[in-house]
Amino acid sequence: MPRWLFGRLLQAVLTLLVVFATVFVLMRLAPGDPLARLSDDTPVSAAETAALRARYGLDQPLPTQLAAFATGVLHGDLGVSIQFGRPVVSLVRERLGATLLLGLTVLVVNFTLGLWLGVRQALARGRPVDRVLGAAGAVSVALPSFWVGLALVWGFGLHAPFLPVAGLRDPMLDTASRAVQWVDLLRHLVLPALTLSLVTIGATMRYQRAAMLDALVQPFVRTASARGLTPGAVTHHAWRAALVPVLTLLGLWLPLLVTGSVFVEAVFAWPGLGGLAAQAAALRDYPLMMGCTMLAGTIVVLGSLAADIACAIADPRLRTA
Amino acid sequence: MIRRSAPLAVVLILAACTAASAQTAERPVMIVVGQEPTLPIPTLISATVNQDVADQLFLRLAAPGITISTAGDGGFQPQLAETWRRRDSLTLVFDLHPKARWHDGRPVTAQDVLFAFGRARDPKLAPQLATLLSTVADVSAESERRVVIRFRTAYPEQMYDAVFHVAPLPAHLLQDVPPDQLAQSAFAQKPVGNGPFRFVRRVAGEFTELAAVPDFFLGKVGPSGVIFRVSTDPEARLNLVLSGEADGYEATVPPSANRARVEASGKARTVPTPTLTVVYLNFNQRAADKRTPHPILGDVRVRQALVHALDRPVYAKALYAGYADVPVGPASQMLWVREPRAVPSAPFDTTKARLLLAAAGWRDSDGDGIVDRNGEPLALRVIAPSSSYARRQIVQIAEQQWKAIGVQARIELVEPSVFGQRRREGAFDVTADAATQDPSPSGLTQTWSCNGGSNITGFCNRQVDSLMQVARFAKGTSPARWRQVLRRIDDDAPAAFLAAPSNVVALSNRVRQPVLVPWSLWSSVWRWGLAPTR
Repeated sequence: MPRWLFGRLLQAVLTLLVVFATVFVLMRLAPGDPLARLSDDTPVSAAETAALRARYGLDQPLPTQLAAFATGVLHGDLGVSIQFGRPVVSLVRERLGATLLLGLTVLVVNFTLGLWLGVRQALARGRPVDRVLGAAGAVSVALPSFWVGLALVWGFGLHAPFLPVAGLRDPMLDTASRAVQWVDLLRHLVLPALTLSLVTIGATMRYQRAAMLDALVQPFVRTASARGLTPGAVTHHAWRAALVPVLTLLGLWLPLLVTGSVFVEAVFAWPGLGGLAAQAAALRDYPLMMGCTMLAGTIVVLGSLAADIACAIADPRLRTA
Repeated sequence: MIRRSAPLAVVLILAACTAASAQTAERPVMIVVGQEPTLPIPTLISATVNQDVADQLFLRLAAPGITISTAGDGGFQPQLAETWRRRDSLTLVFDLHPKARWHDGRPVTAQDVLFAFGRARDPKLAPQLATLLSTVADVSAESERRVVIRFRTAYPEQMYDAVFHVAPLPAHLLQDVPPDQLAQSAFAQKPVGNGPFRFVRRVAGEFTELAAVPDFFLGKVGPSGVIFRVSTDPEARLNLVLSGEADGYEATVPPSANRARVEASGKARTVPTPTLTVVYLNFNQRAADKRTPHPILGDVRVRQALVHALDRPVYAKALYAGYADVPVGPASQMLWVREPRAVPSAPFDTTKARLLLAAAGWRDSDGDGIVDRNGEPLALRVIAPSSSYARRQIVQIAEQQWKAIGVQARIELVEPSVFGQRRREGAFDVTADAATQDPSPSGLTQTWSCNGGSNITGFCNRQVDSLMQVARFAKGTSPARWRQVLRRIDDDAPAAFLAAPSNVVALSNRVRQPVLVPWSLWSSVWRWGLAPTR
């Protein structure tokens, strides 16, 4: 294993440990009672509250709770959710599929269509195509995701009822053929994926345009043109150099798309991790919040690591940096 | 050519699938809910949505009738018990229906009733239920189908206590499951009940599916099944109804505008249903030390002034599209002891409010518009959960109305977990509360008696306590004594009782003959008729 990669891995593990310990402590220092919601729905006696505190270890000192959590993690046990009464690992696993489906779809749209549009903009610099796409990208960045979601629901779900307005699937198609179920899944995916893509693709386009413009004025591009390479081949060479900053962006987008789509998940009742994490935070469900944080933190660090590796592959000079 | 045809092909595929899903016959009833029903098991129930699902799966011995009159032995409808009779003033005898079956085919027996009561009466397992059942002396089986329940004392609500709080559990499946493991057991993941619908599956974060029991012993089940679909966002829930994907959604208003949206959709309509809910601004009557009276709200004149300053019909109109009324005391629409046409003791009267404040020593001595006493302005810390649209609006309207009499409301909108913590610790002056009451008026003792388990404000009126005891154990079924209780609470103004709202339920147009039960809204879905699916 190259030394730089080993160093990055060690750095990633240390980062995760610091993040987990910090979140663990901060969550417990924040105001709010994880048992409050239970007692809001149904009156709970003081004795029952005390029993619940003991069951979830909330009556223990903070260091003891942290030690118990760390021991559990080492045994693959993240505890039991206070609100759901079920193991955190199961809850997170149940939601991961929907989250990955939506997040990866948006990622694919961003890094195919978004990159292509960014390159088109750079190649047409100053021309109407560049200006129109630039304005569209600015609007995309400025739009709030929940507003876009609601507008799309109104347009394609209610006004012209063409697509389902919420959920991941039609529960009644369980006995239908596999093909029908797949198409149903795609139909449910269209509006949330479109919403997230519309509000994120502008940034990808702008990054790619700026990186491409930088690359197009590099000496090696001029040399390539002077040697008589076709415009397509020159663009390809320039694009590869322009990929480095965009790959860094990819590393940053990944966690955002996995856990940052809270509003979109709410608008479309999408059963993903973002909504689960938001619910856990609002209700101070400490075990569930830690489970979501661990997953998000791991994805952030791994995303960053993956971006570094991809950049090193795209530009070997970075391996020694 | 191919590139030009691709978008057309996508459109055709999607359209075909739209048609495919629309053609699905016998669609079950789909009810959209805000929380996931993860543990729909009697004795474990914590959230309302769990109760909604449990009421489809598990029957009681008998159920309160549509008017929810909890006094006396009449007014109940048979469920698992085919008949019941009174042996003496302390003893009720129930004979189980011979055709009652668990969904695994085993008959429902007296042992199942004993098993459930055993769990429910154990203070370590279910403290709240054990308290509610403290008047039950003994539950025994005289045969496979006969259950005898004996009470410690004679009182009008014996029948209600015998049948409402506990639904029988299958002893043959649960007797080997340790009580503290029930929530994690295989039974909790796939419960076996005895009701009109059986459990099919729960898809995490999406829905819980139930299927009709073909030979249900109480009659033919109308819908082929029920699906409880989860959506945490109220707008998404409404959209599911407006698009025709869901058949039922409760509490459509507030906001009031939602009612018009549903009616205009052409796919659904609204059905106002009386509820057991009361909405009020609760006044803290204890100081921060929890021992001495609150320096401002400990004075009944100040509390009455605050109530007089509120134009309460405004709340019904602004928040509930007119589907609410002003209660006298903590009396929801379905509390059978309420006086339908009674007038609250503190009507909207800002002049009287100012006079009461002046009598309590609060005057605007510095002309800043806020009354003060000994140099201290009358400022109240008002808390409300940020997650509740209705309660956010309530505190904002109250802020404006109290300002007119020189009272300053400092509103703090906090997360539900912080709201619950502040309520429990008494860290507030006024809290915006919405309580769903027990059908029985004896549930009032929980909040409005000196030692009530849910009394968070320290309200203590010995006369009210005494009246409650008399009303609870009085002979006969007259509501007169309970009305005295409500009137006395209203006079003392422990809270500003703002609204007793209806539940404006949105139902799809394919639902015919809907029966909505106020104490468990969807429990009669099995009796619904549905228009044929197109």
